[in-house]
Amino acid sequence: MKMLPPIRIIKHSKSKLILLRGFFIAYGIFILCVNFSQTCNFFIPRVHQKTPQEPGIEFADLKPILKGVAKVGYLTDKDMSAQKNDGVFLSAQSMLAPTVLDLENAHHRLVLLDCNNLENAMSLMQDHALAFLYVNPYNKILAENKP
Amino acid sequence: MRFLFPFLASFFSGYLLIDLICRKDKKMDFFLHCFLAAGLGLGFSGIIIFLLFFFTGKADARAAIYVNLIFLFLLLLFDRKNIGQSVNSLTERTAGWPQPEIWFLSIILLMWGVYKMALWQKPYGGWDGWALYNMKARFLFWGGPAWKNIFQLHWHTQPDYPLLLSLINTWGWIGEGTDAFHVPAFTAAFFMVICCGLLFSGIKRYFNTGLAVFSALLLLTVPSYLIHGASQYADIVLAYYLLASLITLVITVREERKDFALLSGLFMGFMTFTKNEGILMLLLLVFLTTGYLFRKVEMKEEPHTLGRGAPFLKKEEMPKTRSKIILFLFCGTSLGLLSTGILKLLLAPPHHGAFGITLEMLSGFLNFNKLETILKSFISGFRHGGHIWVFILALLIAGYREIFHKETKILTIFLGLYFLSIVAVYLTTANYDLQWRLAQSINRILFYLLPSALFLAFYVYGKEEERLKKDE
Repeated sequence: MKMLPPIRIIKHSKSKLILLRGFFIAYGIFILCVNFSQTCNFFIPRVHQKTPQEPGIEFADLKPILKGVAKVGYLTDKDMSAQKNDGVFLSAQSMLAPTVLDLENAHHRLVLLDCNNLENAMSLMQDHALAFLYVNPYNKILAENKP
Repeated sequence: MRFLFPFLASFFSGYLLIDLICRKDKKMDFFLHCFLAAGLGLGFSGIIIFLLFFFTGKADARAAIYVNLIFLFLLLLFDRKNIGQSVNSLTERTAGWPQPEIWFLSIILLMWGVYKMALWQKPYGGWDGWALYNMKARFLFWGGPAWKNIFQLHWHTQPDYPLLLSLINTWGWIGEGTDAFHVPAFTAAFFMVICCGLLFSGIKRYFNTGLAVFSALLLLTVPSYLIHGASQYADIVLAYYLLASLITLVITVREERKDFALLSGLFMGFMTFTKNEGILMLLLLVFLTTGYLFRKVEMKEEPHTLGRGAPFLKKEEMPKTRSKIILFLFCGTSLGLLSTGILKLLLAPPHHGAFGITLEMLSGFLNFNKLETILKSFISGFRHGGHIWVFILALLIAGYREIFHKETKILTIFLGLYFLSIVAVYLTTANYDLQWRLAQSINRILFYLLPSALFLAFYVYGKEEERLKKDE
């Protein structure tokens, strides 16, 4: 069989097909190996990690108290911007759903306070004339708006 | 494990629906049928539940079960003549498959493995998973008459976001009887696996099984696919419905199929009810498909004609088949659009940040620095995805002659226009810090585009191989 010069080998469709297939099979296998090793590197160190806590667990004990309550106020001294909030408000909303948490609104019968410390929480309660009802081990306070 | 019953019921609904719609196609590949049915059924169940809650005014789990069962029963009734033929033709439809029962078992085991991985890695999902989608599902599951309070939540919870994922999770919780955290994890795993399966089936319809298996394996082993998929975001649902829309669209245009046009429309409609981006995707796809069908070219396979510069058809010149295809496509989109329309126009508040853009601000949006930041973020995002995007690019370069050839041009132009639209959205960011927004969203955008990009890349490569074989 006559040997074709290299440039004509590449132009020949069958050779092109073989080259193409060969290249992509080799590259694909390489990627599969890389993916597999990256996946192992990601997951293996995490094998013994603790199961994360359910978001909003700090408010879990309030769930039975707020059962059937449509809306409660939610006061906080924390940064509530989209970029800098710590997610506690959203986790509270997730845990206490279907009760609606009305942020920065104390004009509900019940109001939830989530502050950096108890002093700030007490200060907020005084400002809004709220009566203390309950505090849980995570310092989340449930207060009442007296008529 | 009672949550599996709603998923099974939805699967059978989807299977019968496709059987009914595509009853003339006795030889549809069984796995394509199943992977399309899995998502179609869940989409229908979600929308049925939403419409039920909306029209009755309360979230009633029992009514949701009854309506879904009635829907399944009606499908059984209408499809009773086809079911026998469909079952009898299973042998024919799995012809060429070495021991299809092993494939089926492998898929089940795979789904179980991915589910366990998702549960172990992120049992409660990522931020948006627990804070948005699963939280809203709780309103739907427990809310009763007050389920509409979803739309009165603080804007941090994005009350304008579509609800399909939350409704699917609610459907799973209805079967389980409680808002168990493992149900959304299963939903995420389910969509991850059927997305891979759909990619496989879509490639296999036109090319060899080896290429199809390779494409699905590649997708399933991408670390960012596993990590983002397990986050329980709506992104994996959108990824599936986008891929389903594109695959059914390719079949529609390539084979001149009205039935697949209807299916494609249905999947496009579901996209709009999954994420806000789905609305843009539907508009682009419908516009491009209609434009393509209006051009004066033959849709049947021709030897390597590019069809460039073809004039547009006038209405009276339009072949009946193409008119019907467009009509069926529009009809298919109506279900999803109806639900999205009800949500956006009657229930949800406007998107926070969508308005408040003034003419004065517009001039500030179009600056080179912002564009540079956005493009750099995209490049960083591609790098984060690893070699997969380089591989996709390599496949597209190898098949460069096919990128704009016939039906492939719809997919290529769609992805290009979508990318430009996303850049435009970022350029007009008004109420958020751009860097923060990019950091939160780039990887997710690339994640839900990945299966479709892989489909395009392998489709182009497959066509190039066929072209080379014909040239021999």
